[in-house]
Amino acid sequence: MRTHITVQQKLVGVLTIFFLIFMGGCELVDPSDVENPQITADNLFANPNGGTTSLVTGMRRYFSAMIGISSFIGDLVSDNLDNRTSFYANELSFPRTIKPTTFTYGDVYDNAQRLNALGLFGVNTIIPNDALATNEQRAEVYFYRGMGLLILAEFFTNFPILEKGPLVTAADALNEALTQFNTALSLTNLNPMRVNCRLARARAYRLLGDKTNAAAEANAALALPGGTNHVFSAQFDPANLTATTYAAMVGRTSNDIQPNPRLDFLDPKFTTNATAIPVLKSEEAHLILAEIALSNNDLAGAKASMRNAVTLARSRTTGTFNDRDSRTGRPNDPAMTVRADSASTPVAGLIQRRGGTSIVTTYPISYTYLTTTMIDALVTKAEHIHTLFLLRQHIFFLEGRRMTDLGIRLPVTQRQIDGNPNVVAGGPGTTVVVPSYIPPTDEMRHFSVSGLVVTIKWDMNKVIAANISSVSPLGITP
Amino acid sequence: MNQSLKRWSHDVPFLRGAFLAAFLLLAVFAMSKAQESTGEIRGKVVDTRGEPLVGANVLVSGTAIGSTTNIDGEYVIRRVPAGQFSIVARFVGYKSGVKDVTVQVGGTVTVDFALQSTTLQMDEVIVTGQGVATERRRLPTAVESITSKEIDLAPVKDVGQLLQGRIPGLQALSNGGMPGSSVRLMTRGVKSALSQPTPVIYVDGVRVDNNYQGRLSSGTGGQISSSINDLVAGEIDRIEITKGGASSTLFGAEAANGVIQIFTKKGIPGAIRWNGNITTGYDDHPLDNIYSDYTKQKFFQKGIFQSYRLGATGGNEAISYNVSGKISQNTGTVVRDKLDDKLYNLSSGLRVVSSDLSSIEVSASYTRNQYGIIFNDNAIASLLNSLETEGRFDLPGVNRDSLFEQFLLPDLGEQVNRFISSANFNYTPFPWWDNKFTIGVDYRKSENRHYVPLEGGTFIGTVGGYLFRADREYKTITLAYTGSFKLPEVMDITQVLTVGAQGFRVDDREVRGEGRTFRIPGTKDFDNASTISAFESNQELFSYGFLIQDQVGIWDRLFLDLGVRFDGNSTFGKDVGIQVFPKFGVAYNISQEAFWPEFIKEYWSSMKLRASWGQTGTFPPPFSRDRTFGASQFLNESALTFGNPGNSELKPEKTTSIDVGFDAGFLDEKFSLEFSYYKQVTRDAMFSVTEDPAAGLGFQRRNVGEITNDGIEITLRATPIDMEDVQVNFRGSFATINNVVSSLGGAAPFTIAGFAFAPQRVEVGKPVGIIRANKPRLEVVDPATGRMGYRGNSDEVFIGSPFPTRTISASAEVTLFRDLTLSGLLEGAWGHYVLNQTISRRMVNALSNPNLYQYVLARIPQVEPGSTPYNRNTASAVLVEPGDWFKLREIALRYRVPRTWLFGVNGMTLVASVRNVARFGIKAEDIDPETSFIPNTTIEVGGIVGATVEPPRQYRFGIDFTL
Repeated sequence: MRTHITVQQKLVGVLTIFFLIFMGGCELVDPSDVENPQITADNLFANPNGGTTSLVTGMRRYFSAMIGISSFIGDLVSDNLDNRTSFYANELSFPRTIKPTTFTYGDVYDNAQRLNALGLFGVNTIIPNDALATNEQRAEVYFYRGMGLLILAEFFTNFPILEKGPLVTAADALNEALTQFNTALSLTNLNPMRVNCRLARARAYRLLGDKTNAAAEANAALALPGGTNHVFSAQFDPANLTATTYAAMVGRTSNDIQPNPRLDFLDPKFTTNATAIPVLKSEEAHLILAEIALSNNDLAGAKASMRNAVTLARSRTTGTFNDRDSRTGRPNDPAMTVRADSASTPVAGLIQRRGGTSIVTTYPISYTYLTTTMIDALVTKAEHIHTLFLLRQHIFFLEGRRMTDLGIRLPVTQRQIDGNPNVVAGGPGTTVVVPSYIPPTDEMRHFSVSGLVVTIKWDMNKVIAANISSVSPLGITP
Repeated sequence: MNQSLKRWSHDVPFLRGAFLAAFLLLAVFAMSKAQESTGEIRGKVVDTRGEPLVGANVLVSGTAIGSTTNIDGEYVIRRVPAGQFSIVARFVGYKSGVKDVTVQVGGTVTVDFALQSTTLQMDEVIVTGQGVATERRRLPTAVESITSKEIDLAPVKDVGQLLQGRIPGLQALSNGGMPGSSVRLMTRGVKSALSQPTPVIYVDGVRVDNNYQGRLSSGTGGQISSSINDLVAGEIDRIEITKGGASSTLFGAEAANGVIQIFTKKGIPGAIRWNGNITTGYDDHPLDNIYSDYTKQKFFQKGIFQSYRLGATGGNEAISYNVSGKISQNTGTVVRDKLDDKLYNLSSGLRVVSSDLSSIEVSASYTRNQYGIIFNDNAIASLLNSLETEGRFDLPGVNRDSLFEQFLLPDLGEQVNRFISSANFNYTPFPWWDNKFTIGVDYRKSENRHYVPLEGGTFIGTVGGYLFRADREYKTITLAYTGSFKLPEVMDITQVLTVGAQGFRVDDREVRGEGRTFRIPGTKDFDNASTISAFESNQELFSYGFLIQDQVGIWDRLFLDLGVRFDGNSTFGKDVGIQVFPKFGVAYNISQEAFWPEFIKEYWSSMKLRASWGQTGTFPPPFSRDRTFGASQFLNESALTFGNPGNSELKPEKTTSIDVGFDAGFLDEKFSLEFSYYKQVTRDAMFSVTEDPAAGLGFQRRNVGEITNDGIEITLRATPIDMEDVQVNFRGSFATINNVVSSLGGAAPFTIAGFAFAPQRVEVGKPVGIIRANKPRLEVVDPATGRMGYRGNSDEVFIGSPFPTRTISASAEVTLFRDLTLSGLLEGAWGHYVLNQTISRRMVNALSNPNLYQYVLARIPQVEPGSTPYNRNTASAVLVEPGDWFKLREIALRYRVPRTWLFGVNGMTLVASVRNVARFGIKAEDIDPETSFIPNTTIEVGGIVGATVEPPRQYRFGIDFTL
C-alpha cells in the first residue's frame, strides 16, 4: 500500500511544522516552567532591605506560639490543672511517666527552640544586610531570643541551643539569655522594653540562685517609669494564632480540663482566643524580693514585698464571663468550702457557680484571695514560705510557672534525640526530673467531696514549704 | 523564578520540539487518503446462541483496517485492498474468531462469526502500560479489566464505586455515605508513608485528577470529597487496571500505585439509534448503628433518586459517534435534603477513520455535580458525633427539638465543574509502523462552601456565624506519543519495538476566603461578614519521560517483554537527574506446546505461565524539595517564619516488583483460574525526617525508608451452565496483602494520623499506619495469693493493619431464557483493625449521661481500690476492634422485554437493583468498619472509623430503551 499526499497538503504541513517548532522554541508553549510561590531561600536573601520588620513580627509570632503552649503545659504538669479526658497526653498528669515520646508537651520545646533559632538566624543573616533595621527592632529580636532560652531553662535541664550543637545546661542557657537581655537593654530607648529586660533578668538570676543580681534587677524594674504596674503579655490573633491555653481551658466542651478546686475562683483566666497571656509583670519583682528576704531570714522584708504583690494583684483589671461549662461531676456550688488538705481549715468563696446564665468574674492579669491583712497575720517562717508559694500559684495561674516552682523538669523530645547525635537517649536532659517530694501517680490532682466540703489530697504549697531548701533556687532553709 | 529552575526548564526545549514534530508528522499523514481500487467485507458477529454481539471489533489482520458491529451485530469494512486476508472478530468475554477471505476489486465478501464465550479472555486486547495494544496471552503481568457488559450491569454513580469488588488486588472501600466522598483506592498495599495510595487515572490516554479535595478546603470532621466522585460511570466502554510493577513501568515515576485507564464509548456504526434510561428509586440509611430513637426518626429520611439519560449513537465505517446527556438527583438520607446531590453530565465520543492508514478518536465530557454535605465524624457540630455519642436526646429535661434544629443550621456543600477532553491520532503508514499521538486536558473546578448563619454560631463556638469558601482549580495537560514497529519475523520470532514520549503538566491552584461574624441575619456572602481573610496555595509540576520497549514473541507462545522508562520531573531535587525504571517479563503459553498432551487438553485447555520484574515510582509533592520561609500573617503584619527545610536530593520513591503467576483454563475455558504472587519493595521511601529542633525547622521529606508488600491474588471464573435457556457465570476472587515498613533508614518512627491516645504510626517491622494504643496492664495485685488485677497502669501496644489484609469478592450472573438476568456482588475484608471513634467519643461524653456511664464502665477494666481508674486515653486499646466486614454489595435483576412486545421501540430493558443490600460478619460495635474517619489529603490508609453518614441501601428501578 502506498500513501498519496497532494502538493497543497505537503505545503500546509511543512508550514505548520515550521510555525509550531518556532512556537515550541519559545516560552509561549513551554509546559516545563514551574515556580514556587513560597518565599524560597534565594528570594529571601535577594531582598534584604526591610527584612527586619518581618523578622520582628516573626519573633513575636513564635514567642506567642511558645507562650500559648508553655503557659498551659506548665500548669498541666502541676497541681493547678486536672486533665480529665482530653487530647493531651495522660502521662502529663503522672509526671514520673513522662518520656521523650509523650505527646503534646513537645510543642513547648519545639516552639522555644524555634524562637531561639529564628533569633539567631535573624541576627546573623537578616539584620546585618538590612540597611533599614532600627535599634528598637534589634532590641526586640535579642529580647525574644532571650525569652526562648529562658523558657527552655525553666522547662528542661539539658539541651542544645545550636543546630547539631553540644548539650548545654539550663544554667548555661540562662547565662546566654542574660546576655541577650543585656544586649536588648543596651539597644532600647523604650521604658516598657527596659522593664521587660529587667524583669526577665531578675527571673533568670533567681533561677541561677544569684540573690544579689536578682534583687538588683527586680528593684531596677520597679524603679523604672511604669515599672510598678507593668505587664507584658504574649498577643494572639484570632484568625492566625490562638493560644492553646484558651482552647484547652475555655473552648472545653466535655469537662476536659479543670482547675484545682482551690483555684476555681481564678478560672477562666482567658476568655477569648485572642486574650493576651501575661509573661512579665511587676508582681514577680515583689515575689522575688520576698523570696530573697526569706532566704535572708528577713520575715519583715518578705512580708512587705508580699503585701506589695497582693496589693498589686488585687488592683489588676477584672472582667466577667458567662461560663456555660456546667462543671458536671465537679464542685460547682458557691456554698462549698475547700480544704487545702485534710489538716487545713476550709476556705469559703473559692467555688463559683457555672453553667446556664451564671456570670463569673475573671482576672486576666493577676488576682489572689489573700489580703494584706492575711499577710500581716503570718507568724512563722514556714507560714511565710507557704503563703509565698500560694501567692505565686495564684498570681501566675495559667502562665505556665507552677511546674517549674514544683521542681519538675521535662525531658527533651524524641525529635531532639533523633535529630542531634549529641543528645543521647537516657543521657542528660532526656529523662523527666520529678523530685521525691512530689506525691505518687497523679495524686497532686486528687480531691474528695463530702457534703459541701472539698478536701484536696495534697496541699502542694505545704509540701513546698517542707522541702523549701530543694525547691527554692535561692537557698531558703526551712 | 530561581535560577536553578530556569536552568532546568531550559534543558527541555528539545522535548517540546520532539512532541510538536511528532504531532505534525501525524497530522500531515492523517490528511492523506488512499486512492486504490478496493473491495468490501461485511457480515455479522453473533454468539453461539445467535445473539448479536454489539460493538465487536472486526479487523483485517496485519492492517489497521477494521470496523465495529452495530446494534444488530452487523459490520462492514469498505476499501479493503484486493488480496487474501485473515479477518479477526474480537469481543470481550469471547474467544476471537479468525477467518480467511479473498477480496476482489469491487466485490463484497460476507464473513459471519459465531463467537464462543470464554472465562479466560486470552484474546482480549490490553493497551494500558503496554505501549502498544497487546493480547492478554502475550502479557507477562496481571492486567485487569472491567468490560462494558459489567459496567452496564452495575448500579453505581462513579468509577470508584464501579471498581468495588471487581478487581482482585484493588481495594475500593467506601469512605462513607456523604455525597462526593467516593471510595479509597489502593492496589497491592501501601507503598508510601507520605502519599496517597490512589492509583493514577487516565481517561482515553489523558491523565486526570485523582486527588481528594483541596489543601485549603474546610473539613467536616471526616469524609472529605474525592475527585473520583465526578468521573461518572456513564459512557465508559471499558476500564483497564495495572497494579504497579512491571505492568505500570511505562508510566514511570507516578505509577507505583498502578494505573487505571478508562476508555469511553466512541459509538457503534449504523443508522442513528436513540437510547436512554429513566431510573428512579430511593436510599435508606442503615439505622442499626444509631443510638437514639429520636435520631432514627428525625434525622434520617428516604433519599429520593431520579435519573434521566438520553443518548444517540450511530455513524458509518468512516465516522461513528456517541453522545449523551444525563441528569440525576438524589435528595439524600438526611432530613431537609441536607445531602442533596445533583449531577449533570454531557459526554461525547467520536471516531473518524480518515483513511486506511489513519484515524482520530476524540472524546469530551462535561460534568457538573452539586451536593450538600454535613458535619461528620470528629466534628463537634456533627449531630452524630455530639448528640448521638452523648445520648443527649434520651436525657430528661432536654429540649430535643430545639437542640436538633440548631444542628441543622449549618449549610455546607460543594460544587464541581469538570471538563475532560482527549484527542488520539493514530497513523499507520505501513502495516509494520504504528503511531499514536495523544493530547488532552482535565480541567476541574471545585467550590467548597461552609456557611453557618448568624444564629447558628454559638453552639459550634463561633459567635456570629461564618462563611468559608475554598475554590480549587486543577488543570492537567497530557501530551504523549507512542510509535511501534513490527520487526520482520525471523525464524518464528516476532518483535514489536515501541518508543514513546510522554509529558504532563499539573497546575493546582487554590484560594480560600473566610468571612466571620455576621451582623445581619440572612446574609450569605462575604460582603456581610465583619472580618474577611483570604489564603492561597498554588502548586505546579511538570513531568516528562521517554520509553522504549521490545516485545518478543517466540513460536507464538513464548513472549518476552523488555522495557525501560526514563523520567524527569520538576519535583525532583536539584541534584537529582533523570530516573530510570526498567522492566522485564516473560509469558509462556505452555499449553500450546506439542508436549501438552491432547487428553489433558480436553480438561485443562490452556495454561499460561508468567513472571515479571519491574520498577515504578512515586514522585514527591511539588516544591517539597525547596527550602522555604513563610510570611505568616500575625496581628495584621507579615511574620517571617521558617518553612520547609529543603532537600536538594529529593527523588521519587522507587518500587521494585516481582510478579509471578499463571492463567489456566479448564473444560474448553468454561472454568479458569488466575493466580499471582507479588512482592513489591519500595526503596527510597520518603519519610518525614526530623531536623534538629534546635535549628527551628520541622520535618523534611527524605528518601530513607523501605516498605515491602507481598501477597497473592486468586481469581476463579466459571460458566458452569451455558445452555440455550440458562446461562450461569461466576467469578470469585481472593487477595492478600502483607504490608510492612522494612526499614526506617535511621529516621525516627513517626505519626501519620490518629489521636494522641491512639496514633497511627510508621514503625519498623509493622504495617504503615498501625495503631498504637494503651492497653490496661494486668498485674499481680496481691503477692500473697498471686491474684491478678488492674492498678491503672497501661502498656503501649501496636494493633493491626489499618487496612484489610484479606479481601474476597464474588459475583454471579444467572441469565434465564436469554432475557432475564439476575446478578449479585458480594465483598468481604478482614485481617485488619479499626479505632472505633464512636465508642471513643461515647467514653468521653459518658460523664454527662448516667446511662452511658454504665456502658463505659462495662468496657474498661475496673481497678483495685485506691488505684487511679482508667479513662479513654489510658485504656485506648479497648477501642481498637477487628475491622472485618462482609457486604452483599449489589443485587440486580434485568429483564429484556422481547422485541415482539414493543411497538416501534427497538429495545427495552427493565432493571431493578439494590446496592449495599446487607452487611454481616461485622465485629466492631456500632460502626460500619468499611468507612473511614478522616481521609486526609496527605495519606489515608483507613483504620479510624467514627459516627458518620453510612453508605445507604439504594433501591433502583429503571428502564433502558433504544429507539
